[in-house]
Amino acid sequence: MDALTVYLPIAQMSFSIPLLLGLGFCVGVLGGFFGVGGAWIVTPALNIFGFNMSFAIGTDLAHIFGKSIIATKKHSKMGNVDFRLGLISIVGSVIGVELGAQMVMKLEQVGNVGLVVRWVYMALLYGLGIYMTYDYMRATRQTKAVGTSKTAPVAPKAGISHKLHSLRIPPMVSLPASGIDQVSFFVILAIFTLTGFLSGFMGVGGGFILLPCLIYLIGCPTAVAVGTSLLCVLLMAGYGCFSYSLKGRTEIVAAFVMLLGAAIGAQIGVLATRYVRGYGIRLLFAIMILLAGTSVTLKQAQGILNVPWLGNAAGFVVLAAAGGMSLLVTVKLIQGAVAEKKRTELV
Amino acid sequence: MRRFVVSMAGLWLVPLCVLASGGEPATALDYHVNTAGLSGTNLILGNLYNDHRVLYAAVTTVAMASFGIAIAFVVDAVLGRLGLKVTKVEHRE
Repeated sequence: MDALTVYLPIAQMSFSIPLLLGLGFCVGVLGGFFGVGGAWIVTPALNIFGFNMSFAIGTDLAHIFGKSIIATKKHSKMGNVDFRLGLISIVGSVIGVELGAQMVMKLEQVGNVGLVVRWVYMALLYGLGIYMTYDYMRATRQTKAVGTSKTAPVAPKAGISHKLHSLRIPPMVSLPASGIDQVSFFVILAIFTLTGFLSGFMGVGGGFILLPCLIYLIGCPTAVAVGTSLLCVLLMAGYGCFSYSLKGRTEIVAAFVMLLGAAIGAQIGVLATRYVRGYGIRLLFAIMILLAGTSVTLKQAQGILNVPWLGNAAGFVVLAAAGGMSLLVTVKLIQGAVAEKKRTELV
Repeated sequence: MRRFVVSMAGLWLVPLCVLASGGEPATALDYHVNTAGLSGTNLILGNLYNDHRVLYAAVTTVAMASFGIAIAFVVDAVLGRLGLKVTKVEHRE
């Protein structure tokens, strides 16, 4: 059994290699497919399996940094990364994160920061999940109504993004990679400040907020939203990795082993976006964040009802959701690749 | 244009790292690695962590980035040889 464990010199503990590889793989698949960092999966998982919470966060950020480089490079090759948008996102996110952190400080003075953050977190996860599911169903109904049920659902002609694009506040920027002719720089900045604020306020990486915002508020195609979100995650995780290492909260050996698993997973996740249409990615993402919301609810219930096992159940819900979704994405990739091969043979 | 944007993003990371290295950690972490039973790479890492925290942070960040880039290139090369070359795709909603 010793061959399957690794000694972690900084955390000073032995840890299972398959567990680290498996965690890395799952979060790699989800990161490549949804454009998220996956801290909300890995951090509680490492914590459940014996990592100190601060080490879990730092180690997770370190491996997310490496994994995001792999996935972003691949998405960039597929034309899924809007670098201009990613650059603007950093400015907005930094301002937003700082504002969010300040808000947390204010709430801390009042004395109920934990409660407020958890309720906002739950509202956001359920709100986004329900809205994205509704959006998928509406688009599917629309498509069936026009009698083209064999093709992809048609995106709405006038959404929030169209209204935001019509705001002519100079300077205007063009985002050709996202297929957007003209949009106000300040509109984009405001959107990223909002997502940054929520990230800073809730202490999360922000990938799960960024993806819906890029799709619904900025109007990016889903695949470009995934790639661009990964670029933002990469930059923030790079900073987080350095900052947490400086504070002595990263376990470099564990991060390396996880990165090995994530490297394979990220390739699968990114390649799967070739075979799943945009609305399919949105629906799977909605399911994933609804399950994450369930996990946070269980955690909240543990505190209110004082039932210890609910905390463990919360962690296992996240792990089961991550494992199941990774498996589903892998199956979608295999199905897509097989179908493509058959088509090529026919031609 | 893409190179310019990537360089700018890189430049943005530098002041962020400087910002991160300045000032006291958010909360004090009174933690030292016990290097008594360690040897080889583990001992080097343990000493680096205990005595040169800034260097440890730099090594961790650079190692993660280098490892990520190396894996990305290797996997691309392997997939290319297998005939799975990734090209630009049409975005379908």
